[in-house]
Amino acid sequence: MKHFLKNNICLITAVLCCLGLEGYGLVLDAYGYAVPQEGIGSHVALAVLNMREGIFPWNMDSENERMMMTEMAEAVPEPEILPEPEAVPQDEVVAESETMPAEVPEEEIAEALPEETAAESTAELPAEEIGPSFATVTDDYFADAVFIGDSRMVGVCEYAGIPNSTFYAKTSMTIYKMLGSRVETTREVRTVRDGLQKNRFGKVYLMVGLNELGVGNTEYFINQYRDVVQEIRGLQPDALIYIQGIMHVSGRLDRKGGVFNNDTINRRNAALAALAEEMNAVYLDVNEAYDDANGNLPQSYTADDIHLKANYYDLWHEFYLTHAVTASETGTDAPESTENPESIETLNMLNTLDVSEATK
Amino acid sequence: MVFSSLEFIIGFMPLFFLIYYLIPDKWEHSVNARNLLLFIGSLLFYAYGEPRYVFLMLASIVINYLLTVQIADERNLSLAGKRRRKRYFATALFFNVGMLFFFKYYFFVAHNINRLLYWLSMSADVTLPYLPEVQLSNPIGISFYTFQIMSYVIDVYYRRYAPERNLLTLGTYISMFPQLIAGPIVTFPEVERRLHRRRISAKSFDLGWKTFILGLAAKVLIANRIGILWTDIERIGYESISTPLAWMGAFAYSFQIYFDFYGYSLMAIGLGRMLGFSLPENFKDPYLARSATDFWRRWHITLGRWFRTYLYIPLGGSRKGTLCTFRNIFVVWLFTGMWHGADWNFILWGMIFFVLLMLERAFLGKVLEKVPLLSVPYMLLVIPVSWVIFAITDLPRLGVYFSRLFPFVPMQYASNVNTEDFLRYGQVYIFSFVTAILFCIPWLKKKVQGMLCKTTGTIFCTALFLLSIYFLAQGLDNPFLYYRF
Repeated sequence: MKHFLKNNICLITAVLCCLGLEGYGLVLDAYGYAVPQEGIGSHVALAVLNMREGIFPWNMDSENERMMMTEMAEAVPEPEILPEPEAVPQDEVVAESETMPAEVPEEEIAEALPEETAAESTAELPAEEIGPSFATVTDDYFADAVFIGDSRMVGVCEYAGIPNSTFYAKTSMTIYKMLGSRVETTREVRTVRDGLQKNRFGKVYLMVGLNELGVGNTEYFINQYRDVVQEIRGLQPDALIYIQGIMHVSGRLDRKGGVFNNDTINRRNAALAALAEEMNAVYLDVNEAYDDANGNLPQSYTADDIHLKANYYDLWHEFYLTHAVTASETGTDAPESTENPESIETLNMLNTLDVSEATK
Repeated sequence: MVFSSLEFIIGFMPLFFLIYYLIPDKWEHSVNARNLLLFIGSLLFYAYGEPRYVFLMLASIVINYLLTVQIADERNLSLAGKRRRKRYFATALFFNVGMLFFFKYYFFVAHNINRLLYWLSMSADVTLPYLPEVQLSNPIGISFYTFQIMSYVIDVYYRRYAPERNLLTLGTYISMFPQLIAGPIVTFPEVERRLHRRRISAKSFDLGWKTFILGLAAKVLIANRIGILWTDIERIGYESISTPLAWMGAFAYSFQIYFDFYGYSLMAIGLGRMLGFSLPENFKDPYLARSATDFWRRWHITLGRWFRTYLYIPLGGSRKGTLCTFRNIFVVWLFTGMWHGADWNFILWGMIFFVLLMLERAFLGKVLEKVPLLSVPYMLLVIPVSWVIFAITDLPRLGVYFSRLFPFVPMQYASNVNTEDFLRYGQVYIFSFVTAILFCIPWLKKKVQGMLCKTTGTIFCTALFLLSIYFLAQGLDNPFLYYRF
């Protein structure tokens, strides 16, 4: 036995390390950190993932934010007893969404209906028929625009063919770390915050949300988003901010019923639309250009169920061109009117849906 | 269950080896107890991902056991006895080939026959009956264990060795989990002695464990990393990649499939050693080959050996004249291609190697031998291009990829190509490429092998192990390329 141990130091170290990780994972689990997946080895995975995020046994408690995040993710079944003070109380959200239809002029609701069809059709219609806010512009419009976002935005940068504009995009960017993210698409700046401090932009397009689907709940996501938008406002006071809804995933992935499903995306998009109104920003939903009849990303447009194939980014470009808010109209509160009635209804159901999301 | 998963490394493996070594060495039934444990453990290992097909494997073991015993017991040398012997043998072959055909090739064959029938009925204006197209999920490892059983049956029939009378021992040989899912394809004599008597030293266990780690690292740290480039290219769409990126992708896939399979074989050898077996090597620096012929002496050696021993030589090998040799090589490569998968691209892939081997036999081999420098660009072309054919099962899409690899061909499908994409992906994957190339150098591999038993080896392996666990835990999906065979 002794002989065996003496000759198998490598194995012993490995076993000890695994036991250590397993133990740490169990502690983290006990503290309420979300376990990534069920099954053998999940606690080791949990320990490793948290250590990657810089959460070690000696600074576990200082990571309050992270703790809260995962607590929230787990506490979704009973949202009303959430122990977070700075979050918007549930009834306030309800109040907001209930008052919204009143603010929208009735004829605009009726006229917003054509918007549900694809972008090509809206491009053919005169701007004032769709709603006063959106105009069709040329590529010059994007000369002072900055596009910030995740891998899908990287794709826009590489394949949509929008000339002379700035992209601060990075694969796996999330709203939680958006401004500190290291930019992948340009070498001129290091981080997004860096770029926003150095340069002045007329328009800021934001597109994140997919990577956040598994973390926290809609409220937590929106609160973080609000903070980021506020900071961007501070850095770029004159810029028009476009908040983009999350692009859907394909039906195949949606049916798998995992974290990436279009129900959750729709819920978060509805909340993003409300946030855009609250922050006086423009809400854009690129799904209008891409959705198939069932509200999924068409299967033929994607190879991995999440990202567009290079060929289909043109549609996105066209969508931007036909969904621009021009300077003369930014002064009015027009942007809100672009919500279609459907999304408002969805917003109304936000609370009930959030509960069903968790119980599912 | 695959070796490169946390379930295996943290769950199955420690538990199994703990019980395995609790069985005392000096006990008289020690080997049988260990074989039983190994057999049951292997069945659980197999059943973890595929609970139904474990019974198929069990049936295969029992049927082949009974038939081989019958073949060996037929000592009557009269004509009738010989005929009976032949009948048992034919039954065994029919069962094994039939099982493999039914589960792996039936859908492909039926689908293509139906297409032909459809075309006939359209052109001749008659209604023809169609075959039912049943699509079964492919039982994991069926090609590997069926080939292993067939080698055993054929050898027993030709009296190369006596059959195993102990069903448990035979079952252990077939189902032994290190080689069950993806080889190496072990012949019975290679493990027979150890199946009856084995003791392993602490040092040998240590070496096995370290070999396992090396294999794990090859799979997780090299193959999985560099393999992401291939998924990136799929995401972009073949029609939108630039030509340099298309070549980068082809090389990335070549490295991925090599380190994936090589890593898996190393893990199998390591696990075998930890159990007290010595399994055969499956790779010998294949990417240093100087010709396609040479490549197949170095790549998946146990499969090439199988086809040579049980197909090429029985057909007459190269001894029956040029025409016969031509036919034999053709048959071998048709089957080699099909063994890798039931799709046209695999047949095309096999046929390309058939043509290359024939060319090398005719004159190219001599040219390459005389001008060794020529073999470098030749293999740099053959290896990635053949793997691209292997990788893309859909023929029209394969055509698109080829039009991007060779942009001067008249048929072009390019659209929305970002001509600078290779710079971006080059930056991301340069490190993976460098590591992959480094570990293709035999000198470095020899160095690593040499230091395994020293303290530096212990530190190196522990570091590799922790790094592998780190990447595995990141939950990146872990597609094992040879899994579907």
